[in-house]
Amino acid sequence: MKFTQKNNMGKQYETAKDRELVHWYRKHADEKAFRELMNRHQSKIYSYIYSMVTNAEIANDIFQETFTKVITKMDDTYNEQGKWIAWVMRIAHNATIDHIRKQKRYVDVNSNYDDDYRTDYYDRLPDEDSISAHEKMVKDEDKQSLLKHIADLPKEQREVVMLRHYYEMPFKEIAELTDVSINTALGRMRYALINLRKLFEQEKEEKEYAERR
Amino acid sequence: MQNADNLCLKYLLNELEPSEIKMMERILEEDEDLLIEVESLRATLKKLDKLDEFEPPEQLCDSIVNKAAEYQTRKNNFFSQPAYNTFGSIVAAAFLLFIIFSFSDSTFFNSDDVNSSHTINKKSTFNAKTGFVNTQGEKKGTSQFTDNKVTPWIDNNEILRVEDKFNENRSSKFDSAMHNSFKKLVPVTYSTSTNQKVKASSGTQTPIHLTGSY
Repeated sequence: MKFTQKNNMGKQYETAKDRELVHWYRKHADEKAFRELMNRHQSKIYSYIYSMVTNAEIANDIFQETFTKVITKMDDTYNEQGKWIAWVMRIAHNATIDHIRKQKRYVDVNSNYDDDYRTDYYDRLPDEDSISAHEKMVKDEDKQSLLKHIADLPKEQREVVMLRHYYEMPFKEIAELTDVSINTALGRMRYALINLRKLFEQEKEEKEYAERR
Repeated sequence: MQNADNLCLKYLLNELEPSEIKMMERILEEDEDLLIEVESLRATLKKLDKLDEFEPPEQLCDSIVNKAAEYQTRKNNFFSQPAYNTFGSIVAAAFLLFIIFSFSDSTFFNSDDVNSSHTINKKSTFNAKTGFVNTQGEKKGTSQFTDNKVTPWIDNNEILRVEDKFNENRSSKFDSAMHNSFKKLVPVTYSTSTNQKVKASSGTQTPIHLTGSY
């Protein structure tokens, strides 16, 4: 006769709310509670960071920096009444923006295509830096081009699109996080969609042109 | 114009109230160009669904979780240490003593009566020699400060009293002690160079040397 042991503790963590998990972690240094919190939200947080910096190593650094602050600042700045993920997102967003400002990786034009050399932004990146990261992280060609188009967007438009896409954040919260009015946040989203549409259309024309040749 | 554009976007992103949605749908039915624009943006938005989520490296997540557990364990252990608790207890006790001494300072020269049926139940006497108010049962020579004050009062003959008006035994002792003290007061006479005595008559103020202790 085979006995199966019910993992009541695992089931308890899976069904617990974020608030409860945070409380257990704080009170008892419960590693499993913190791990469950990570499992629930790590993909969204990492995806946002990666989509903003488009580099795996940098994304890893910012991800680690984010959670170092989460661990050390939880008692000081986190109020258990609010949503834990919203608080973590704010930290991740600020860390990402700080990095982008320091590195100045973002190029503030809609299209980076160089007519003289017939290269774009990603063609000019060193192979070991960008292409290997893409090969690791993005398998499908459609996803690659999508990521590339998102990277081509202005920083302000890109962050609004990513916050909306990954976190499904209402525009009121996006406006608060990015320190602008709701109308400005909506305007940035609208321009982001218009720009993406242009980039998709341009890509489509280039493919049709390439196929005709 | 900006408001109209934002309204279209809110409709696209499902951020309108039900009444506003109905209004927007009516407008779209009437304006074909606007309808094409909104649907075009909807198609672009839908392409973002192809964007998958990216997973962080497993080793990175493991190191973060370990760090979190270690940090919180260290923090919790610090606050539960016996030394920390002892220190906290000492500080709390010192603060309590400070409060007690601050309040007890205001109870100097209070007196109580042991036999009284009132709240004042300790007997106190005025010792003419020492000048202290002592309570019975205490060691001699010590002064006792009690919480119960005896408030001075004026009787029907307009005489100031300081004893407990409800306790005759104590008041009579106090009165006799006061009377004896006043008896001991002797006016001081001053001799001049001609060796004549200065009389302490009316109109001449003679300094009185108060005595109370022998």
